[in-house]
Amino acid sequence: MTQDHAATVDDAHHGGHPDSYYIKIWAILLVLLLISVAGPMLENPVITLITAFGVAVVKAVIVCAFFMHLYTEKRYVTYLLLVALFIMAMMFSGMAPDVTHMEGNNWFHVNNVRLPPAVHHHGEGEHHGAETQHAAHGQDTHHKDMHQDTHKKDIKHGNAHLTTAHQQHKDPAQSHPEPTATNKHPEATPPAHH
Amino acid sequence: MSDKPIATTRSVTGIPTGRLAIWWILASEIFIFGGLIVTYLMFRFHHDHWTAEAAHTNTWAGAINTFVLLTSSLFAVLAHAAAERKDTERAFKFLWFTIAGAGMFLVVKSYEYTTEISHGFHMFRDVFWSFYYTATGLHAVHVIAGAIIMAIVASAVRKGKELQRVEYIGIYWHFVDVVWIFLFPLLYIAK
Repeated sequence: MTQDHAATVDDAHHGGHPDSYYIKIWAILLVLLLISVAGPMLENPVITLITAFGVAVVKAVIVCAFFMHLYTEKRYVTYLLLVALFIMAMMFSGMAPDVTHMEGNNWFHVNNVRLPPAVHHHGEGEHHGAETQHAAHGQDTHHKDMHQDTHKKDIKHGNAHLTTAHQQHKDPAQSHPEPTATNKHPEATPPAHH
Repeated sequence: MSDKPIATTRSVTGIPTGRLAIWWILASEIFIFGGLIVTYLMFRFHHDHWTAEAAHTNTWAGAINTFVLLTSSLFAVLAHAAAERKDTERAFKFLWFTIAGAGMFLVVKSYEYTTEISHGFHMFRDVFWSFYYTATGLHAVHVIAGAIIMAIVASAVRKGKELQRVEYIGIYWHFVDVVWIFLFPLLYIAK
């Protein structure tokens, strides 16, 4: 620590503990680590959740408080970090509705659309498939306007059919569709049609 | 006043400006890792099959690495305590113990990556694995950066210079430890 600091900065007790103090904290952290690893062995989801994430929070707080010396640091530093956490949480809570709600009239998985046989029969299905692909790439403008009526009809069919597609999507472990022209990125969530 | 940079010789906030800078860096890191972790959680809730993918991560390797990082954090704080006592030799020694911890962490991580990739669990197998490699890879980059900076700090400390930097790099190192504390249950325990 520089001499200038000593004159201007309140650093009392900052890191001035004996080594044994830190070794005890480390031992507590190791016990918590053992609990984290042993938790899932009980095969109880609630206990696993607590021993994994509850204990992780406790471990993080201990490291921050005693190893990073946040408990002796100026209080505003803690506030600074908490504000960063809060703003990050706000950003994600604003975005979460779009990511977590995959249902509704204006939101569906274009990539998972399977055209009904009836549409294929009238020769409109292929057209819609191509249009869907264009829309997914943000290139559907003139083409879309030209066939608005057809598109609306297809959407109507598509939405009814999407229910099935969405149900399939809910359990992808059981159904891994082969990549097709309209299903190259199963995880992607393309823009909604109106 | 000395000829040192202003960041190391004054404080208008009640703490050394260098230390305040470290806290600001960590506040920005909260957005980087916090964003990644929250995005992972949002996707995980909607993709049940990620549980099956997560079953292929090596829990014991993750646990060993958690132990290694917690121990290296102990070494970092012991180096800081030694620097506070002006015991430069001891501070130097514990800084290098911490660097050794970083090396051990990377060895275990390399073993994990090699095993997983050779068994087909590469980055493009599934979005779960994309998250896995992005999160752990970004964390590993922080470990490497921390180890390099710590070696630079250690060389100065041995000469009895810039002892305050032992604390600064220590705070950063503890943050890297905290990030791993959360990555461990997310990627290795929740299966």
